[in-house]
Amino acid sequence: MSLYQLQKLVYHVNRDPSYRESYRQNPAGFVKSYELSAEEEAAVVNVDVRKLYTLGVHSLLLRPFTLLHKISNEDYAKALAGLE
Amino acid sequence: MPIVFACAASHAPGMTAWTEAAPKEQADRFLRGYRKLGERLAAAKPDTLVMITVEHWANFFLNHMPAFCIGRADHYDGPVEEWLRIPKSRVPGDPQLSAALLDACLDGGFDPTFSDELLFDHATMLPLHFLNPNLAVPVVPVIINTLTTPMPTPKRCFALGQFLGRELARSEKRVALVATGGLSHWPGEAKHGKINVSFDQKFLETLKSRDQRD
Repeated sequence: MSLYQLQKLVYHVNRDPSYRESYRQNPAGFVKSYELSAEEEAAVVNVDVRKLYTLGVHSLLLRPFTLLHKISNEDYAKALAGLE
Repeated sequence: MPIVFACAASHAPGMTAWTEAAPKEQADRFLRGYRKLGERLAAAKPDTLVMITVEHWANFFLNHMPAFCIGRADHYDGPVEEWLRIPKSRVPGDPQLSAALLDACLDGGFDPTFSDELLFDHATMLPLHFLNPNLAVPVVPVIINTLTTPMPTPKRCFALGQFLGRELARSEKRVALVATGGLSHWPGEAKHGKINVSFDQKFLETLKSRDQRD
């Protein structure tokens, strides 16, 4: 587990336009700049909302990250269904 | 000089980002109320607007998370969110009042951090959009960590609020005070979109009755 690094990646993409651009151009390469497990890398590259949530990414990091990917409120809720 | 205006209001980003998601009549009524507050604020002719709000990973991360931070910049840019449907703007600051507040806090038993560069997110830009739409009144931001544990206790936040109220009432400036946040909500969590009506009603009743026991 490297939750700190995973959240740092999401924070950088959400908040810094230069990081965001690098991430958008090459997500698979971008994740290599952080100390992540293979599972965490895959969750970022695939924008796997449910996996990122269960890995422990803070909800107020995760929701803005998914908004950058234009994931609607309905699809976000669907991804987290049953986790309440 | 007594504080010339004070209010508490929601900063939920859906108000501008997803306005159409609410029934039109309800959205119109709510936003009319928000703009009416803005008219009352303008009528009070404040020199400075002190805004108490919360961190949302706009400025701070887990490498350094202050309990309280007072902005001391001469301007602030925002919003950071691309999707908020509020134009990017530069908001004037009031570094003189910020510095005076920081000195008063440190003398008075509070130890906020300070920052000469803060970005504003929806927590500040959305209320400003309705309350101070021309960004004519300079802003002093007071940011609280209600985001991630450990965070300041409600008792400590209440004490800081009382302290700031006393200090601002002694200022030579005409100060308006706006506190923003939300009632029950779980943004981004699995309960996203739900509210707890009975908690909200109890909270509002407690606020109205000025009951300080809890």
